[in-house]
Amino acid sequence: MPPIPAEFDLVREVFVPEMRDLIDVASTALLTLEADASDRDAINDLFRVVHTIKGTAGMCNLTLLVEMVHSAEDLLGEVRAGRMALSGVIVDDMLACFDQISAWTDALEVTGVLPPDADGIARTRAARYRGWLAAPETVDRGDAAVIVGPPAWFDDDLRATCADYTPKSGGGKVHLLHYSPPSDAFFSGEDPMARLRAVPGRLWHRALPRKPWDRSERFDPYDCNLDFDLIADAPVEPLEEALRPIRAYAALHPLQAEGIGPELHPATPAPAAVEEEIDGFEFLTDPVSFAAEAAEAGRDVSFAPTATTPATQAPTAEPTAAPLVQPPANAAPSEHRSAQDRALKIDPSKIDALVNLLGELVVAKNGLPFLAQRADHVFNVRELSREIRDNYGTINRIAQDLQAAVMSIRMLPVSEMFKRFPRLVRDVSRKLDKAVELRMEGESTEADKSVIEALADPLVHILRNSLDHGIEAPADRRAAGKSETATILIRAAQEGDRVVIEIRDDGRGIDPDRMRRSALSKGLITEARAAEMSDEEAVDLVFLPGFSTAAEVSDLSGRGVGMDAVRHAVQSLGGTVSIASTVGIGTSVTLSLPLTMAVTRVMSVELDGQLYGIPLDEVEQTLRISSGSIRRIKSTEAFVLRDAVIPLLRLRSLLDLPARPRDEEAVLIIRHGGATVGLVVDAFQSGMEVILKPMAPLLQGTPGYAGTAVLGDGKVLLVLDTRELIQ
Amino acid sequence: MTVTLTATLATLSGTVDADDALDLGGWLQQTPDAVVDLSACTTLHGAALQCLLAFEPHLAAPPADPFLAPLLWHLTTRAQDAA
Repeated sequence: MPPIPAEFDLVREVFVPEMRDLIDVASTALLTLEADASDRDAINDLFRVVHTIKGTAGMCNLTLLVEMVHSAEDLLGEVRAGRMALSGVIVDDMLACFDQISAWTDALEVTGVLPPDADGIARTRAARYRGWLAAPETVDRGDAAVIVGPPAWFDDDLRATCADYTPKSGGGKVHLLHYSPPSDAFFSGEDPMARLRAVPGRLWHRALPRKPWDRSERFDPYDCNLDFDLIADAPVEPLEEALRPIRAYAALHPLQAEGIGPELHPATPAPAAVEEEIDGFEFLTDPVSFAAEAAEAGRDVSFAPTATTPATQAPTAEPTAAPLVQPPANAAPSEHRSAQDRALKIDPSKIDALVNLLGELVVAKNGLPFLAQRADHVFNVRELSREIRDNYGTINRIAQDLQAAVMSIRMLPVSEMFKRFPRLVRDVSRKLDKAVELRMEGESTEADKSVIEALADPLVHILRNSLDHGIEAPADRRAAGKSETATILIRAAQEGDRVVIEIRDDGRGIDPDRMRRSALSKGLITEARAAEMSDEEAVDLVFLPGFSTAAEVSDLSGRGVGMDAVRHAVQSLGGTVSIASTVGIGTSVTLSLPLTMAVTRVMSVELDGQLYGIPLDEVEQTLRISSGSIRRIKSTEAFVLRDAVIPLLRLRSLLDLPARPRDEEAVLIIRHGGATVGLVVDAFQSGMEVILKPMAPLLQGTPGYAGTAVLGDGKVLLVLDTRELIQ
Repeated sequence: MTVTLTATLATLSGTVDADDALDLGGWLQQTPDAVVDLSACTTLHGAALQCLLAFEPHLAAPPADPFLAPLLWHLTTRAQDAA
């Protein structure tokens, strides 16, 4: 049996990867639920996931998290039971909870411990969720991120009583206990009265209704509506012992001359502000935490491998963690555990290693034609040469299949990237007071992991732009005769070897005249250019660097990056982005990207005895032209091809090599954005498939190169980035 | 049976458990001028306690038990006010 991992490892190897997935699932379920409160699957999913988060946190001894999540779970329990409506503010609160866990997960991954302010945050959050349960009207309905004051149950009476019982000096023995049994406590055999009777050192206690009494026919004596407060003169240990079975519903706060726990601090702006003195109380010490809780929680709640992770996403839990993965003890009904549960989680670095090996295989394979050539020409054994070529054919086919298989492992559905959009749209539209429905199509479309990852930010930017500038306020929409709720459609589809993503809104559209005026006033175009520009070209101006300026910067879509950044990002992936808009009808932005970037087809060309690669998808055609047909226009050269004047660039001069004009020039016709350029090279060589590797770190700053690839004969091929080169 | 219910008086004695709460609750709900005698009550289940707290009957006598007394003290003073 492998050794039991240290707690530190447990957190990094189990908690961190688990949490990322769980939080995604939880956020998605929460948003589904907000849209349709009757969705039983969503609430059950949410409940189950939150329960698993709690269990995992407990197992990793993250007591703070357990406490916070526990309160959130209680809140959800009420929602699930139909006793509480899921308002937008509560959703905000719950999302904030997930965000907090997410932030802590990041911190845990780096440092292995929770940040020092986590304690205060967890407690104020937990208090807030309990506040919703106790008296929703007392919870601050403003910004969910605001840290709330003391919970509702810590009323003036209790405050005064606590002051009476607080020892004047030293001690630390007197504790305030707040016990809020769940509403179904009586059904589980719990009698709070008996429980509290057993608390040692009782000095004072009271029982208060959580909600106003329902004295109607519906009064149910077994629906527990009581909260208990108790002050006891006893050390922590026996109190914890007495409260162990109900620890999840009870909190202990030491009453000391120096202060009580931060959770009871009146309107603390931040947990760190501990030295203030208010009402004779100073708040210094933390409430006593149940040290053993985490271990217990780890045992009594389920810990299931997550269901929803595509195989390549998260690092694997190492085998050392395996004994801890137990079948669920109580929750997580088996129908939730789909076949995906059995999917492997694979460390992305292992996939990368596989891709590298594949690259070497391709290189080795590409060496065979060279060998066949040598067998024929150097050793004059034609028979052997033919056999080598036959063998090469077989290996080539296997290599291609292998390549397809490996690439398919790296393929992720675009839903990986889409899943963050509902949250984004919700948050932004709430902030802007706009009603927006987000529709997503083609989420199962797959693309290479690197494409998905690189696309996320540009898409977020386009979405924000659309929400901020495209979608009108509900009143304006009504005035324009549209439905108040705007629609944003994100659609992904595979077209050949490219993935196409369209973001379409039904907002106000882009006014080409305004674009012209705006670009003119910013000095980006000349008046003559503005006049001759078509409407489509005018709309296209959004992609012009510098077009998005400070005047339009808001905290939503501004931030200094404009659509030009989007276009740049997409182009650097070998993609294109285009925009179409009709005033009053809406705007549509379309991105088109290669499905996979790992294998690049290049056209090799010779230059000064050296081979260079040019990505084949940029090459429109190759041709030879006589030097006589090259015309000089001032300092630039051009030639006519099918009635179009095509500017001619010499690769030698672009790479600072000595010029060598010849009678007949070899020209590659390259598409560059919307324009076409002729590129003069020394000679054409064969097309080939290569695994493109980025330039070594020292050379990364060198402009004009997309990367390197190793050839079959061991030489290194420099692959040119023609876009950069030509610019 | 540790709960004895008459037209307006309920006498609770010894241990009042969860089962008794159902009867007590129903009786309290239908008895507007209910009076409850708790003097002989030693143990009160939480469910029964919340029946008393919800319908706030007059207490003919407070519980002698030091744990129960403070929880129902305000009902005793109410009874005295009424008298």
